Amino acid sequence: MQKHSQKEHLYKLLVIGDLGVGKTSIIKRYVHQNFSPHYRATIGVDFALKVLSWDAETVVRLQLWDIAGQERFGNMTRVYYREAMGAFIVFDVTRPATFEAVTKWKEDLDSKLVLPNGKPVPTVLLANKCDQGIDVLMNNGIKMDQFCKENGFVGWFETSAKENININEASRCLVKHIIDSESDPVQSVEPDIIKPHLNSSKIVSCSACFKS
Amino acid sequence: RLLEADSKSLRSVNGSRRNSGSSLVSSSSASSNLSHLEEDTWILWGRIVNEWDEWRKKKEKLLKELIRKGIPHHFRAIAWQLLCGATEMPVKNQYSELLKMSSPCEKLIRRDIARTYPEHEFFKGQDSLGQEVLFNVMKAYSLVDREVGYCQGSAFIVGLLLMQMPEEEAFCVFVRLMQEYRLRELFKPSMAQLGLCIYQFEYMLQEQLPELNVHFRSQSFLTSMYASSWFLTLFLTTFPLPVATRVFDIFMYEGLEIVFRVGMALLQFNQAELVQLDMEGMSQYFQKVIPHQFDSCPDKLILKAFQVKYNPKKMKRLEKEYAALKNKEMEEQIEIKRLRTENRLLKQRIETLEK
Repeated sequence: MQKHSQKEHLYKLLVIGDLGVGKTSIIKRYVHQNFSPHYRATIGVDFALKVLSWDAETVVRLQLWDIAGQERFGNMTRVYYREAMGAFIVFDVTRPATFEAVTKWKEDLDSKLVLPNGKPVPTVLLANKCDQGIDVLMNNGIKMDQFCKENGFVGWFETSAKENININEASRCLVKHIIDSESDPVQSVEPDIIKPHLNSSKIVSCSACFKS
Repeated sequence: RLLEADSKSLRSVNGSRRNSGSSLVSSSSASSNLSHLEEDTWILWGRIVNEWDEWRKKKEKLLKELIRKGIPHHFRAIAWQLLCGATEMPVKNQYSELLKMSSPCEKLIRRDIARTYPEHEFFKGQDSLGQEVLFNVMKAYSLVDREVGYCQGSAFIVGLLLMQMPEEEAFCVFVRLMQEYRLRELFKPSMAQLGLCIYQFEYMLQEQLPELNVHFRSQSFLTSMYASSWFLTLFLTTFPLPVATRVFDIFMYEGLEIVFRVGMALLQFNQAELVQLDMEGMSQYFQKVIPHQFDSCPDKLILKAFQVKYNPKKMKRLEKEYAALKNKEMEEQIEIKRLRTENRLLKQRIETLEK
């Protein structure tokens, strides 16, 4: 019997953030349900797939793109941003510098990638390694909510790949926003060009035309 | 004298090689009466490293062939140093001083230390000797080459060197590799050389495996997705060490060409399977299947690699082409920037005039 009611969605998701924040660990936990403190540094890009039963009618296939964190890899890895539908930006709660880099990652992402409707791709912020306690940043949830609002994140989660905290939740949050954004009507965007107003009363002519 | 006797027997090695074209290893040990192939290889390599200059100058072809067959484990340390000319480097005397200094890259390097060969005994444990010396060499290098500083990927190369030799020596070899083997260009902040290598590799793919190339394109499976780490870590993050080290032996003598060769050999070998797979399937295949295909037969891989067509002249031409392309891109970027500014100014002017 064919299940004609089942829909399948394929979404490409980026996982970005500074070097060593735990991008690979999060993906391995999410996809393979395990954790090792001994993952190798990602050189270039890695790739994993997760299949979710979203609801009775919907299956979601997630392509997770695990992108090298060192800045200089940016030239090479930006091409992988193409056609992504959502992103996780990850930082390490034990290292404030990786949080400071979050806005840089977000700006970079938004400058390289927009949805067909002109909006930025839904992005969830992950405060990883929350099992390691000493978090200065996380004690203030309201502040984080504010930060996400200001910087265009659709949500944020304290995660731990090691203890399997909040990773499924974060993913569901992101997928939900992607599905919502897909049903959004296409909006026109203001492009960064001048449209010549030919019917305008004040035509700025080329000075050469008046030479004769 | 001993040396004389040695060089005589070496001549005979060469001679018999020319005559028979086979059994070059066993003929070398006529005087030692050893029957084991391994021991013969040892004796031969003992001579090679003792009479290095002569081998390098006069027996290049034979040396190349022997290296392609694999340098015996215990000779790798010295052979690699000789191959890249790292035996007498002034920078070695700076090493201990460099270790006392602090580097702006230290934090970055630290992050990756435990993530370099995490499965390998030598590098296990936070206070292991392996991790300590790896950190030392990476830091020392970042101080002598501030432009490159530290780049992810390079620690795998240094790690391999450290499995073979003490840190000062590994440092010298790494400096040579960076300076003389195009690695520096590969690891610079712009990583321009990587772009070029990918461009060149893509050309080979298009020319030699057109069907696979079309398939990759139809699946948006970009060359850089699978080949970047091949170039950046010389297959050290692809193959298990016994196989990767064989490739590295050849790299030490023949340079980056071997990466192109092995890469193409892998694609040729797997073409039939790859064209059946979609993008996800191919990614899995590159991660799971390809790395272990030659675990028990690295010779087969090397053999295939040297059957790959590689045209140095064409590669040179591509290099020029790529440079021109990049130049044009850069000029266009500048032009776009200029036009954007002009556009903005015009827009402002229109607005004022329309008021």
